[in-house]
Amino acid sequence: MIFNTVDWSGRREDSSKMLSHFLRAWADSRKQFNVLREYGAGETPEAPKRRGGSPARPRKAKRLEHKSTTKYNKAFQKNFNLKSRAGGKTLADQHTFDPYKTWQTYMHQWEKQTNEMIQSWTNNREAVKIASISSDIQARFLELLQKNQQEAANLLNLPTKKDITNAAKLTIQTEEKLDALEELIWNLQDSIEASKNENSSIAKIASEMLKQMKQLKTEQKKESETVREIYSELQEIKRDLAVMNSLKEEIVSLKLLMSESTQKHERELVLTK
Amino acid sequence: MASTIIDIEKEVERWREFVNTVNGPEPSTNHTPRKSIWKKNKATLWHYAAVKKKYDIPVFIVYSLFNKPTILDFAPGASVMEGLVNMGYDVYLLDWGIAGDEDKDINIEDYIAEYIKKAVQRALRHSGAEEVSVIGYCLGGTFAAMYAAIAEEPIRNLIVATVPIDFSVAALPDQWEEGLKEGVFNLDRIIDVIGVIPPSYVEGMFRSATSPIYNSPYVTLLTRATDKRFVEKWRRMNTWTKGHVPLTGGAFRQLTIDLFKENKLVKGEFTIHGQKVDLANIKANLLVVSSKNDNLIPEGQSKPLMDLVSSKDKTYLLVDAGHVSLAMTGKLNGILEKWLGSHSK
Repeated sequence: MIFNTVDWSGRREDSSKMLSHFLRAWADSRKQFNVLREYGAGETPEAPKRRGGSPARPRKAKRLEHKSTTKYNKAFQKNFNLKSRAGGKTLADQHTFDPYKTWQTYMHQWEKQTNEMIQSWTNNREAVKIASISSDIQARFLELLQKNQQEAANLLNLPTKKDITNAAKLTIQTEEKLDALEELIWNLQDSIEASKNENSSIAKIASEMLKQMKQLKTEQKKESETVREIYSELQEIKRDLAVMNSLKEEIVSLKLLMSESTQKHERELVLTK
Repeated sequence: MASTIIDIEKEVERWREFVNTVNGPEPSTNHTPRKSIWKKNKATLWHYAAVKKKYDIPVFIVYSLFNKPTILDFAPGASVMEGLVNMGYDVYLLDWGIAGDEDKDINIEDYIAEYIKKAVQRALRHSGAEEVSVIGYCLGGTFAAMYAAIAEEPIRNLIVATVPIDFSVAALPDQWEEGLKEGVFNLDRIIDVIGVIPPSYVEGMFRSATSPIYNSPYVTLLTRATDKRFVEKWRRMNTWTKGHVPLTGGAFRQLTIDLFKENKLVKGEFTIHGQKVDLANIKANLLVVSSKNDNLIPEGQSKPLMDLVSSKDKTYLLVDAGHVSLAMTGKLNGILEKWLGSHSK
């Protein structure tokens, strides 16, 4: 046995419950016709007798009769309520049997069950091994095919998919280089923008410095004028000092002359005496 | 009985509508106005401008690699994008595009370092904002969390929805999970041969993990084919469901081996171009949203993120929705309006 027998043959024939599921779904769908019927209802008490069975007990028959009308009454009431809410829809509209809906329900259930069944069938080591072997065979086959195709194309001097791929790769490389260049240009733009900003700030500083220099220059001019004035004053003082010095010398010489004349006078006085 | 008589006109209309819907052209997508601001290889960074800008922090969205992000702009009135721009956010969406054979070597590391990181930088430059809120959906959430762990860009908020983080919790049947983890499949060889995983394979993977037989949407369509609104919604949903995109071999390899088999992200062993992805590096405000009826990403895959991050402000929400209906029904928008609104001021 290829597939895992424990999962599959270890169970009952309907182990995936597909059949019972379908039967249940079918029975459910039949209920749509049974608005006025319930199990055992709609028959006269004689009917079972005709089929060979014993008639239902009178009490049960009464109860069934009651039940058969209850459902109709409920359905009627529900329809009446819905009609008053939705406006205008009749009982027939509300409960129209749509075979597509039933078919859809069946198909969905069938699909679900079948998928589960496939997964339970294939979820074993044997299935994995088979898939592995078949993929290896496929790979080997494709390898051979590609090799032969390549060789045939070479002989016929025809370009192959590989050649086209290589050409496309070159285009991609060029595109990548262009992208890299664009990014470099961006970086350059950024750095130019940054140096522009730097330059403008430097120019700003320089103009401020120039301003300050001019200010200093005017201040210096003023200062030099003051210095010049001081210098001329000093020169005057120097000159005055020189005059004073010559006066001092004159005074000294006068002093000397005076002392000499005094001495001469005193001598003359002594001689006269 | 009058109620059981077949209405011929209705039946003709039903079958005509059914056949037209199944075989008809794809419905229009991307209703919210947007503008492409950057392209790299197949990826595009879209900008959805705010209707009336209320928040300075833009929103950056990363979607999964498996599908198109059109589910985030599903239909007028049922769109995450529309909701966000109406709330006053500038939104940026990174659309991975459709990978070609030449992209087979692109792996998760490349997607994060070369695409998400650069796209966030572009979004920041385009918006002139100083911070960004990152939203990741499904596998996009895993990428967003990985990126947030290594990001140098300022991330204010990180929001991840239906996100797989802890891959030790699997949505696969147990024997298949064991087989994959034990290395029964020679994944490297298959990836090397295929190169880029085609959309049909991607769809097959998801189908086998969730429901191998998938007829119920068609049955429902036939049952309700006369309901115009339902048919329109069905068309959009069907287009998105069937719109799987190819997955690069490199990304698939890392996804199956590094994440699924070895669970490297939770263990802190995942690296991006040599840089270790430590989820403890995430300090942004965090919101994790899981869906109760998600049979693809169970709650157990997302919740561990709460304990792995260092964020002081972190919230976990379990929403009564499915993997896709979370975005489609507007539930995510309601959550974002409250949480993101209070965290973007």
